[in-house]
Amino acid sequence: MTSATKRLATVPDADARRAARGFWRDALRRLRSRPLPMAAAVVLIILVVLAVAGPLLVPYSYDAQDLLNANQPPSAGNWFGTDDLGRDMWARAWSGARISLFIGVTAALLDLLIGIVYGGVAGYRGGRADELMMRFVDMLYGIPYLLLVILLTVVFQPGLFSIILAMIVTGWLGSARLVRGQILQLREMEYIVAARGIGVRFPRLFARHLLPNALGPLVVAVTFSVPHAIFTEATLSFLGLGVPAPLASLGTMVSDGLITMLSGEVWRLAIPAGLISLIMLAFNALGDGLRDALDPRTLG
Amino acid sequence: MLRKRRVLRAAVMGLVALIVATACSGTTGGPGATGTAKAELAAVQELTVATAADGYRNDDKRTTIGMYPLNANIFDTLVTLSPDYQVMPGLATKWEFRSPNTYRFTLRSGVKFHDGTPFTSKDVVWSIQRIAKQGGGTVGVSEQSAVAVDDLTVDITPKGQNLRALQQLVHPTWSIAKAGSDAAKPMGTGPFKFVEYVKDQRIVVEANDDYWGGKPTLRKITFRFIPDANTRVLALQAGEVQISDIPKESAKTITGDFTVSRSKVGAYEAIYVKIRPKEGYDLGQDKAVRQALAYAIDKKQVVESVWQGNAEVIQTMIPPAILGSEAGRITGTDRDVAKAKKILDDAGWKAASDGIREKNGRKLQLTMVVGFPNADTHKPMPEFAQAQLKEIGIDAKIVTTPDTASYEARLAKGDGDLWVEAGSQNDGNPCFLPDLLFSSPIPGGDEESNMYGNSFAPGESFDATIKRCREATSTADVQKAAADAMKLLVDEQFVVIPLAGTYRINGISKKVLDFVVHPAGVQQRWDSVKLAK
Repeated sequence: MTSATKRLATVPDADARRAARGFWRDALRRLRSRPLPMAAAVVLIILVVLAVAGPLLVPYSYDAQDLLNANQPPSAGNWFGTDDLGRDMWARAWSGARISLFIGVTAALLDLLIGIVYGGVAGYRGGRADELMMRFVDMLYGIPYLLLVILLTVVFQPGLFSIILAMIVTGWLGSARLVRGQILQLREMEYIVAARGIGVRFPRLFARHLLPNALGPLVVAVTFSVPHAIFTEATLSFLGLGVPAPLASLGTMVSDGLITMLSGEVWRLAIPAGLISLIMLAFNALGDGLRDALDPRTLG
Repeated sequence: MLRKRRVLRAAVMGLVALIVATACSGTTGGPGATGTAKAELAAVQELTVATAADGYRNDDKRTTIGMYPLNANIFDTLVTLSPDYQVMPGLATKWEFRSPNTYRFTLRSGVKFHDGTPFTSKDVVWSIQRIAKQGGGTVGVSEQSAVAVDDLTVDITPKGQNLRALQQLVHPTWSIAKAGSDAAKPMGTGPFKFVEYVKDQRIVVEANDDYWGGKPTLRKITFRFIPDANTRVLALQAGEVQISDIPKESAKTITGDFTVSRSKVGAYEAIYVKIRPKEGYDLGQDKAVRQALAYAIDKKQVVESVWQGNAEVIQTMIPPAILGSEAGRITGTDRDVAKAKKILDDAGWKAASDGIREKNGRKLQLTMVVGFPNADTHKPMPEFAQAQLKEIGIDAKIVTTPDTASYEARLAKGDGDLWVEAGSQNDGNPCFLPDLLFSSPIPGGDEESNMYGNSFAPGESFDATIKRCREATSTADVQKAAADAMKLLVDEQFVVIPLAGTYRINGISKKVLDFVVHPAGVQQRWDSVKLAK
């Protein structure tokens, strides 16, 4: 071994010293280096913990009425005050946030799942099948989203199930398009052609080679579609098509609290509205950070 | 003919708010609302009023611009309704009943329409014929019903036996318009002349200085249609309008440069229980269930806590005042949890592990439909009732329909057990609402009446009471029949659970004087109103 080659081997350059790092670790490093997405992630974790545990911290149930203590401002006894039926707003706000988050995350994940299957098949098969499948998506895209969702919640009995269903019916279109685009781009890559050449079948090819390489943009898409779903739920609840009483969601609470714009019990409106804003802001900031982290090319 | 009632009623209730907006300074009215005749008057006597959504129609079925649901005082009616629900002279100064089915009206002389032409019996005949062509209205008139005896005498004979015609003619849909006039350009004899109507935006009227009842002080009134209640109140707070209704749950805490005043009871909040069969919605057929429901809800808490004192407990659906001394015969129900539970236990409804009762494997789950005239009117009462029903082991599912149309679409299908309604009494006939809502359905009969009858009609003995009411000749007999009908609905069959009599609550600018509220919003008068400096 010459001294030259020895030097090469023992004096690693900056990149090589970072040892073997995968795409995901790189992404995580890029994410960590940015304060806003990290703060958003921390806020989200706190919100989720409170949505799960928050109602347990107070001795009131979200639906326990106490008319003698109706419309009380936040105090030591009721941290978020009480509503017009004397229900504890802390318990309602967090069980409402739980329902809103549940709806948002479930709808977003199911959207993605359907989108992956549909878009994956369309993108990989290509040709006529792709043409037909995507024109169908375009057709559905033509129907105003909120109108369709409202129609569906009216047809089905209002409830968690029908809200999620209504959102999925239109929500998967976006992820289907995204997945198809990714697959179209990836399927001509040499490693895919190679895999096909050695006889890897479609399901395995899709799960092991195509999907992992398309995952980055999909993760970003989900992060953005969660707040979208939460916002849609809030809109539906606001229109009176949300979760059935006495269940609370953030949207129904805003709807109930609207009247207080006139009478001054601002906490009844400000707390659920603030929580919706916070959740959406956090998801959007995190999504933004994830996009930069997972797809560095988009960094200007 | 009932078709019209329905629209009347629907709009009435729907527009309760609107008229609330206009109607309410009331007996409990603040200083701004009552007479301050000595106050110095403003030089510009122009009033702007916020009212609910535009409910005017001008189509084959109805012609109501300026009349109903917002009564802009462009027209007069033959007879009018006092705040105590008594029939008073209007364009007719006298009337007499002529057996078997006719009322003869003597008309006021010297009355002129806004264009200066004199008012005579031919205008009455024309106006009645117009309603006959549109279906006959509440009274049930045909084109032959109105007959001019001479220039100032007119006979009105409804198609069917209906002695309540006199009390029904007070409703502003029976306004007298100039013969041959165009409904889109209302031409009446009232204290205000039509200026302009812009659909969904405003109707504007100006003073009729030749009004037979005296020259109005106000020069101009602009009624602005603002569908959203919160927006109406914001307009009042901003001073854009001088009068607006105020939602009852915020009446106590709301502030601004205005007086909050309330009318006497003219409207009500009640739950109707579906008594007639429909698959999936048939538990109300069990009388024990209906009775237990009646004892489950704390009416006192509804009015005192849920609505913060802006209502009062009544045990009838219609305002007790209209029943006179007969009102006391209806005992009604108050919350008695032990009794309600016992009734259900005795009927075989046993509580399961989740607290909800069961019988023969069927859960005691009821669907409560909320939305007449709109969902917001009732808030937050339904959730309160839901919690109280849960206490006696009834699981109530709340279904909210946003407006009257969606509510009625659901009622027509009969998909629900409990139906929450806010209604109001707008004419002088105590049997109006019982007749309309609870008569047995007649094949080919009025659509709305049948829609209600198909769900709530208790049957023959009730129908017989209503027939007595239609044919009664004295006020005492009418009140007695109406009270019998109410007693059957409330005390015996438990089809109706009256919760509260509600007020019209208005915010009135402190500059507005002499605004005397009428408990029936459509009867509101504007000619006494003045503006202070």
